Amino acid sequence: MLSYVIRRVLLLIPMMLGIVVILFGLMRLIPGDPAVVLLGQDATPQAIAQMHHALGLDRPLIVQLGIYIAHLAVGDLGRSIFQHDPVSQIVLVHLSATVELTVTALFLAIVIGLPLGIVAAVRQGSVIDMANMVFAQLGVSMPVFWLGILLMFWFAVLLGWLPAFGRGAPLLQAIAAALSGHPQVLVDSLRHLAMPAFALGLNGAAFISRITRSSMLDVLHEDYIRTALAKGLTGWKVVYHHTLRNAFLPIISVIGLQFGTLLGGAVLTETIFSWPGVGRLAVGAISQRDYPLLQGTVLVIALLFSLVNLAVDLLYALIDPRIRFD
Amino acid sequence: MKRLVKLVAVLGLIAFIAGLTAGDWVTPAQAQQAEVSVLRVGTDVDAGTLDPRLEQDTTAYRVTNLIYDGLVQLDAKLQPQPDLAVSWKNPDPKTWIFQLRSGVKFQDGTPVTAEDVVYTFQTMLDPNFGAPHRGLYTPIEKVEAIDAHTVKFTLKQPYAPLLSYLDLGIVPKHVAEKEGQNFGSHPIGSGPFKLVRWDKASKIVLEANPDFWGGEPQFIKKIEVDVVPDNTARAQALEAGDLDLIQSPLSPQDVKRLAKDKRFTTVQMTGTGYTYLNFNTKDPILSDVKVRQALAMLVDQKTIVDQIYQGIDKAATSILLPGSWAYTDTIKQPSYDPQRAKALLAQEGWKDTNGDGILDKNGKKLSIVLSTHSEDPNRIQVVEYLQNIFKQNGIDSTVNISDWPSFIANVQDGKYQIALLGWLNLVDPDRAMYNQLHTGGGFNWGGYSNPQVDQLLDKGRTASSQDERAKAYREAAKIIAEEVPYYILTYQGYQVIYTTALKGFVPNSLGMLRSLVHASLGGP
Amino acid sequence: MHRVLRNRSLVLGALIIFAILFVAVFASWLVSFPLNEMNMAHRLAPPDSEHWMGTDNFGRDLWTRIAFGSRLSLLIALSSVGVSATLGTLIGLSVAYFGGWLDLLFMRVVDVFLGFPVIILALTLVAVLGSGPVNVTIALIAVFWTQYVRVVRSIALAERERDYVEAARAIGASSWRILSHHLLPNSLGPVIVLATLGLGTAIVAESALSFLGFGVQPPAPSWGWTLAYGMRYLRVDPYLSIFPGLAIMITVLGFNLFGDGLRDLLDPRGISR
Repeated sequence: MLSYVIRRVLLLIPMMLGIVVILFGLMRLIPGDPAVVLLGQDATPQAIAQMHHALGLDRPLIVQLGIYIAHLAVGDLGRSIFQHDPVSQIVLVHLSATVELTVTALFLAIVIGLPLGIVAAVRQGSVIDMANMVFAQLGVSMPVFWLGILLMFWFAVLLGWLPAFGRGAPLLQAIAAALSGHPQVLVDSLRHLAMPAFALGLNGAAFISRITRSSMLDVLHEDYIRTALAKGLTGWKVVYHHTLRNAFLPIISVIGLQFGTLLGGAVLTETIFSWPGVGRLAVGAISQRDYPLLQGTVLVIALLFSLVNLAVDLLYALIDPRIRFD
Repeated sequence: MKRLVKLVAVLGLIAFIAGLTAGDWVTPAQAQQAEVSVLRVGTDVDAGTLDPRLEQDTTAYRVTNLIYDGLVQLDAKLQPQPDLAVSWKNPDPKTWIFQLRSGVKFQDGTPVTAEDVVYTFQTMLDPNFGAPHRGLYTPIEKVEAIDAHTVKFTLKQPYAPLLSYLDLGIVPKHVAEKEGQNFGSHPIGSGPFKLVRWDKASKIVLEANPDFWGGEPQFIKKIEVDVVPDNTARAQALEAGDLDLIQSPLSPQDVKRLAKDKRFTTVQMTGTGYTYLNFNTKDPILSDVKVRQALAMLVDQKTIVDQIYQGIDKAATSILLPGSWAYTDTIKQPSYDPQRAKALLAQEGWKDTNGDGILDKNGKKLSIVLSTHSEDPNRIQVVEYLQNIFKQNGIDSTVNISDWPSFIANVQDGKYQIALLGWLNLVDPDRAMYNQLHTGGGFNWGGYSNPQVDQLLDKGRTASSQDERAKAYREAAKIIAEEVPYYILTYQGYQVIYTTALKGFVPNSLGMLRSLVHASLGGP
Repeated sequence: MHRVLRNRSLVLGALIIFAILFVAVFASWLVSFPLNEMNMAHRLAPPDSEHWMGTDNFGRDLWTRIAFGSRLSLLIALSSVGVSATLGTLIGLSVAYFGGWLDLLFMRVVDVFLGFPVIILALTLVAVLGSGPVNVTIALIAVFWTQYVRVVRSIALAERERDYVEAARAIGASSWRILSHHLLPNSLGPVIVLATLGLGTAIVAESALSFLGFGVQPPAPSWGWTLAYGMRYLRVDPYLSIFPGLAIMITVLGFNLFGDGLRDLLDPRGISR
């Protein structure tokens, strides 16, 4: 087990290196560079040349890449060209916003998807099951940016119930504030979170309900369940004690995969709702040609994504003793 | 497992319902009443830096203007008014002497001295410092402190627009030197508000400066600048009560709608910029002035202004801005007339000889690429609309939209035919024309060259009386309208929309918010 | 055949796909306005008898734009998924069969591509290559190919050790023969299912790129582009965002249903999930 984890972590190194090299190359192939953006349209060629020198962009590419990787090796992601702060600091701040959004979305997805899937499986062929199938299919097919627009139109523009954009106080801070007698701070945070988290989570809810239903059905058709039912155990007891536990494996893996998908999907959601997360940070870094910021952001997202996948695999092993890693 | 599932489900439902219905408990209006002294301003981009010397985006301009003082402030008519400088003298065309206000303190408590002014301009002029707008100040030969409160500027040659650029924020030497690169994130100025918090990409929070030389802002104690990139989302946030003030850039249809809303005051004025088509005069097709004129006759300016800009930006007549002292309405650019355009093109040899519906000459098609950048939805629409008209009139035209850095890099390299873009903050006609259209000018990407225009622009820069300058610029503008290196499409409007509760705010076409010092957020 | 018809997802999905293909192929006959005809005086008009979906921000008939837009969406989706699936299958089979350093190398490359946040990779590629349908397709291929490699490789790895492959090898069958006659047919089912579902993903991805301003160039009638504009006119004219969004959703729904049905048909126990 330990050696498996070590091997998986070591494999991250070539992956990260690959990402750095590809991204480094791609960014420099895009026309326009940070000096042009920094200096604006009223920049003279001399000013641009000077800025290239100041940013170290006049050195050979391979030297620039070497310097970047050398810094990376000691954990230094460099400084953002536009925000002037260390990249690690900027990414961390945005990452907390994205994680807050993604975790809430995932939470909503589970809370909506899991019960729906269970009920649908137990009452297979009923109206609930049909409704769930329609929900699942529509939910999966609904592009997140369209759903976002519709939600915003309905809840922010027409009804005016929820704020159209942005983030309240960070959720953990807000909870602390609520506990110390300022519930409105938490309310404000939740109101900001509701629409983007729902837009992002609906897709996942649909997926989870589908997987839950089908893996529950697989188990329900197993002989021992039939036996249990034949022995006179009532339906819901069987569901909880026998079925759900055994159906959990594929559900957990889908939930884990969903987390990764949500991290990626967050780019669009963050753009629509002006949520200050890493997705928007990365898109902004592309459009400003902020090389170190984009590289740092993508590396951190990729690392997080890989670690979540690893955690899911390990969780798998914990739940299902049949699985052994070697 | 059973309990776990139940617990998760119940908790989730509670949290979700609480989140959804929370709006019933605390409405934005109630929250607002609790803190009347906070003004929430919406903006499109986060400030790149809050060091006035390095600023580039409008948010940085508008926020540093609250944190710092300049030697002068530009008033609503863009005329320089005393700020840190109480008075100035211009003993000869190449010398300016400024008398500083005494007793002014930076927000860290240290006094503002002539040394700080000298330091600010010296770093600004240092090529290695990398100030984006260094070019505006290069005619300055040197800046010296005569005594603690007197500063002398010596120029290389007479430079009439200088005063308009001296609203640059003065930074404290001792802090800026010590902080170096970090100064932009931890700004210290002497202005009416100081920075208390900056959540990058999200919000900038300013607080009233109790030691401001003009007196602590009485009513507005806090300004929160919220970043909402999408123009429409920003307008919706104002309507939802999440913002108190928004300003250009805005979507025309939102301005139209909000102008009718009784809850808000909408002020529209001529801005300080124009949107224009830049013709590459080095292009084999467009080097022919007649072809440029013909294409300009295909620009349906009225429909573009009325429909796409909804009349928020105004139809332009020349490169001179209506708000400028140099403005005249007697200059005319080629007007929309497809028939004449076709005739003119035919006269230049562009005819459809092979019957494919596309004009050609010597076996080459009349192909035109219209470029613009993807950040401005109105510009994309203009380009798409023009492409359609060009196509109808036998021109093989395509659209090339890329993001700003790609677009501007190509334009700066002369790799374009017709580009749609704009110039902003044109506080002096010199800034709208000299570098753009003078032979070899720094931003003369289309390679336009006319000795007569060169001469007029030089005269405008050095002449001492405003009348003489105006005359020179008008003559130059007339030639430009005829030869079409630029077709000026619109004069950009400036719009600010704010809650009617805000009283005493005086809008300024640069979007500066200085007048908030005396404004209040009383009841509606 | 009975099993096919009883599979409701499959039938419904097929019907939807058929309807959309019909619109795409016969678009010119189904609309009554030229694709690019502008009418600025009649922009942002709500649906009426003449323009049953209303008009867009240039006064163009929205139904015409959406009908022709289906060609663009389907073309980009089919070509990007087609190339990805073919490329991914070939690579997956080869690395599984030959193994060794080739396998090791390719799987590291696959890791790198899988590690990238999908949209960021696609955005960056379009920024490098420039906008346009071909470049968007290339960007989508770069994002999609890896999943086919993974699936095909794992199936082929399992098959490689089976007796019949051993036997084929023993009687001297060439590598090519083993790959094409034994490993490929076994991988084909899951690849087809994956590709069908992938078509839906590709349609969403193309519109997302256009939505963010990194897609095809106007005046090409991209659904995502129309939607991006629709969002700006939400207050004035909600139809401009509702119809293109519906078009995307229905198309994706068709491919999803069909893909699900196909999976049930080819693999009733859902093992390839």
